[in-house]
Formats: sequence, C-alpha cells, structure tokens
Amino acid sequence: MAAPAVNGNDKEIKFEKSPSGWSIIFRELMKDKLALFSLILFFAIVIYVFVYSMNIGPDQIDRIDLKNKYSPPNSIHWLGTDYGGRDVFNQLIVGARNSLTIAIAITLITSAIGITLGLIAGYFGGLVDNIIMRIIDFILTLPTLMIIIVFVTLVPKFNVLNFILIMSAFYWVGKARLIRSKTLAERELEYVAASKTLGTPNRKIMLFQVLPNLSSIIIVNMTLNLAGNIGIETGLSYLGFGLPEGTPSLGTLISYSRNPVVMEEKIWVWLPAALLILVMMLCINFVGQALKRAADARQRLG
Amino acid sequence: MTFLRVENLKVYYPVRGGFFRRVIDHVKAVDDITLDLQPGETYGLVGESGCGKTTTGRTIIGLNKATAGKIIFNDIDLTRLKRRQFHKYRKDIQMIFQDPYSSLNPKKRVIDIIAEPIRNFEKLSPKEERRKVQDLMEKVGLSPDSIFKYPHEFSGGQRQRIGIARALTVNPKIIIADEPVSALDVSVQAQVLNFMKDIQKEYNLTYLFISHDLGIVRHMSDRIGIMYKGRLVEEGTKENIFNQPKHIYTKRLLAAIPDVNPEKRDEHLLMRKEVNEEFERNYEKYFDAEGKIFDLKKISDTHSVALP
Ligand SMILES: Nc1ncnc2c1ncn2[C@@H]1O[C@H](COP(=O)(O)OP(=O)(O)OP(=O)(O)O)[C@@H](O)[C@H]1O
Ligand SMILES: [Mg+2]
Repeated sequence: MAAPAVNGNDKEIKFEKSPSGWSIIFRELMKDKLALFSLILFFAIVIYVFVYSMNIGPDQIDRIDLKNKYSPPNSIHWLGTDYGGRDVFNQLIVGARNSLTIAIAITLITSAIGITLGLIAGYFGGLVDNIIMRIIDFILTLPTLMIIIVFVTLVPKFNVLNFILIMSAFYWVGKARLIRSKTLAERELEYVAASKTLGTPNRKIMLFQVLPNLSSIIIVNMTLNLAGNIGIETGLSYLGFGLPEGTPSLGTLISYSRNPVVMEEKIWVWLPAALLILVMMLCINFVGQALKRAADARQRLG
Repeated sequence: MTFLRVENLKVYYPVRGGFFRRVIDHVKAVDDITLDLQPGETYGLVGESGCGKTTTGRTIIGLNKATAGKIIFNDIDLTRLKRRQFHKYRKDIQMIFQDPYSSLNPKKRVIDIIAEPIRNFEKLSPKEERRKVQDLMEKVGLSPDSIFKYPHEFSGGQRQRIGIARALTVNPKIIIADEPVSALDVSVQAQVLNFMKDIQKEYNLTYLFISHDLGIVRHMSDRIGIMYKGRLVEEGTKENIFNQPKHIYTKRLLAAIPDVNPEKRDEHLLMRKEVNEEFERNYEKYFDAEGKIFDLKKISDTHSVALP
C-alpha cells in the first residue's frame, strides 16, 4: 500500500487506493490457472474464428465437388469433406462464427432487456412491477420451443438475424426475474434511502448505486448464459429447426452424424464440431465458476 | 416564523391481503403527532420498538408519504410539494442512518459517497470536490488520505463518521439522527455522540434525535418527546421529563433505565414494581375507553402530557 504523502499543491499525492471490483476478478482469475487458461483459449478461439472467417467467401463453403465426396483429412482439406465434397474446416470456422454470433448476440440482447426491465420493476415496485411481472408470467406460460420451431418452419428466409431476434424475444424473462428479485432486496438497504435524501434522482440511483451492486451476479449469469445459448442454438440446428443448410453452424455439422454411416465411418465430418462445442462450453464454465467465486468473498481463492 | 413544525402528522401503512392483495387494514405507525423544532436545539424522540419513531423521521425527510397532516419548514408545507419543488429543501434536512453498514454503498469509494450530494447540488471541479471531501474527512476525524478506500475497510464508528460527513456536505439546517449509535460498540458510542454535539455547535445544527435509549437521549437532548403506539404521550424539557414525569408510560420508561449503583439496586427494583402496578391499576386514567392515548395538554409553558 502506498504511503500517504500530502504536500501543499496536490500534484503528487499518493493515496491509499483499494482494489476495485475488477481487480478482484482479475486476481481471482490469476489464482485459478485453469480459469485463466480457459479464458485465454476461449478468446483465442473466438478471435481466430472471426478473423479467419472473414477470408472465407460463400463460394468456398458452398462449392460442391462430387469427385471429392467424403474425402478424409488431407493437405488440401484439413478436415476432409462432407457428402457434397465441401470443405469441413471452412464449414467449421464459418459455423462456429455463426453459432458464436448468435449466442453472444442473444446473451447481450436478453441481458439488456432483462436488466432494464428487472431494475425498473424491482426498484419502483407497485403498478409498474405488476405490469412487467404479468408480461413475464404470460411469456413463461408459452411453449417457447414450440413457437420457435413453428416460426422457423413458417418464415421462408430464415437467417442469423431472425434467429437472434426470435430467441431474444423469449429468453429475456429469466434475466428480468433474477434482476428484479435482487433489486427488490437491494432497494430496502439504507444506502438507497440515503441517496434519495441526498437528492439523487431515481434514474441515477438505479444505474449508479443499485446496478453496481448487481454487477457480479450479472457477469456470472451472462457467462453461464453464453454457454447455454450456444447449446440452444446447436441443439435446434441439430434437430433441423435452426439455421438452413446454406448457413453452416456447429449444430448442422453435428447433425450429419444422424446418418449412421457418417457417424461410424466419416468421423471427421462431425467430430471437430462436437469437440469445439465441448471445449468452448468447458472454457466458459471454468471462467464462470471463477467469476462466481470472485463475486462471493467467502469463496475466493486469494 | 416556524422553523420546523410537524402538525397532526399521520402515517398509515396499508396492510394487504386476500386474493387480489387489496388493502384490508392499516398499521397506524404514526397517528396524529404534533411537534416543533427550535433552531439549534436537540429534540429527542424516545419510545419502545415499533412505536413509529423511524416512520416519523423518514416522513419528515420525505422518504415516506404522509397520510395526513403537515410538515412545515420555513413556513412551507413540505407534504404539498411536488418532487421537483422538494429538491430545493432537500439540502436543508439531512439524515444520519441507523445502520452504518448498509447506509454506505459497498461498491463506492469514500470520495464518491461523500461527494454524492455535492454532485447533485453544486458544480465543482474534480479538484475542488476532492479538496472539499478531504476537508470533511478531516473534520469528522478521519484521515483525508483514505478517500479512495471502500466502506468495508472502516470500523463501524468510522463508517458512521463517513455518514455524518456525507450529511454535512450540503450544510443542512436540520439533521434527523435515527438511532445513530445503536449499531455501535458501547465504547464508540460516546465518542460519536460527543462528536455530534461538537459539530452541532460548529454548524449550528438542529437535531431530531431518535432513540429508544433514555440515557443517550438525556445526554443529547434539550427537549424530549415520549412516543407510544404512534402518538406522543408526554413532551417537555429534559428536566420536565426526568424530574417531573407525569404520564405513567414515561414513568415506566424511566423506571426501566438500569441503575448502575449496586447499593440502590433493591430500591430501584421496588420502584420499578410499584410503577408497573400503578400502570395496571390506573390504566383507565391514562388511556381512554378504547385504550387510545389522549391528546397532549399543556401543563406548563414547556411541559405537555396526554391526560384527559
Ligand atoms: N414498510 C412498512 N410497511 C408496513 N408496516 C410498517 C412498515 N414500516 C414500519 N411499519 C410498522 O410501523 C410501526 C412503526 O415502525 P417504525 O419503524 O417507525 O418503529 P420504530 O419506533 O422506529 O421502532 P424501532 O425502535 O424498532 O426502530 C411498526 O409497527 C411497524 O411494524
Ligand atoms: Mg426505528
């Protein structure tokens, strides 16, 4: 800790600065080597996927080469080809990009809606809370997955954007409920009352006083959500209700394994995608666990 | 001109129940109280747990809505004001909270906590702001170098000082102190109380001092109001209350103060028993047919008591 030294003009004053929330998270990650490694690996995958996929044009994915059907991995096709002679590696990269884009976008959109509505409902309570909660209850009673499947079959031109929007429309409710319940507890604390008596407007109290106290929950929830959203996308695509053929995703690659021949003899078509999902999920979960510990002082490693 | 006058204040909390969560009843937390604060004095509000002390304080500062009645400050009825108009008077009435742990935002550094009202009411450059915060820290007896620390790095007494510094930033005229030391260690209580007395002189503050501890109130207050079930049962100067208590409830409260003198302990016990017996016996004399408390009646210039 820096020694305090106050001199006349406060140019070179050294203050005893205490670690902020971010440095606690950073410390926790540094202590947990597995989480740190996971974080780096995950970002490496994400960056690689997004950068590399920029060099792959649509023709490189779609080009059908029937002479090269199901060719095993070789120097031209690193991961071999599928039933149309299309390069699996290119599909894997573009598929991963699509899956990640969808998962990240859904996580961000649902968080934005969920946090906003949850904060408002929890902070103000009363009528506002009642209205928002009734909307949430209504959405919760809907058979979400069925509606998404019907939607996918009905919409003729289904693409990444559509997928993100339809998923986000349903998946914000859980977040809103979580944030609302935490806000309800938080607003009873006296620092909120104190802020009011100090003349701080409600909008600022919500954003700058209450929200920072929810930040750890939000970060943990978003991280674990990201893993879940990758799962939902790949699951739907696997079942054939996700993205259409022309838009590869990790789920479509894995779904080739529904063909028993491919499943047993052409492992290179689906295994890399399955492994990639597994690795990403594990990475996210390890990081999520570390964040969870950082959020709870009693569980911290250091 | 009245400085601060609480006039026939009623604060009822709705009790909801039933299928539609309709209002089925009310808790009469504050049921028609009237009190005056004179500039520079300390008014002690005493009563047992749940009698409505906190509710009174929170209503005066605008955290609760008054069901009925007036809160007149400098001849203006604060209960009638819109939120925007009320903002002007916010500075003049401030509060010191009971719990030094939950009343400081754990995610904020001390400088942000103390500077919060500055940022709402005056525009200072970051440098001026820091100066002011450091001055205040010094004033409340904390190191000006620790302004970048978080609340959890301070002790309870130190935190309460931070809370006091925050209330002082806007130069308030009235400070409502809701059991400001009840969460503190006894050894620290006196320290904080004496410090509050010091700054009262320095800033010419008026205190509404809320407590359930008559000993502390005696130490702090010029005038005292005794509250029971949402109403005042007796009001007077410190001498009136301690030397000539008139209402049986006041007598009972006084008898409940533990006597530190071991030789007089038996005597004290006897007195307590007597008071309790009188309370049972003369209940009708002090409360009306429905068990309600009568309105306050003046028995001298300074002394009022709720008798028929
Ligand atoms: N938000 C609320 N909703 C409903 N009833 C309430 C609420 N707050 C307080 N009450 C009730 O109002 C009455 C007065 O409460 P208040 O907090 O003012 O008491 P108090 O005198 O400050 O007690 P203590 O010494 O325990 O702090 C109590 O009976 C309490 O149950
Ligand atoms: Mg109270």
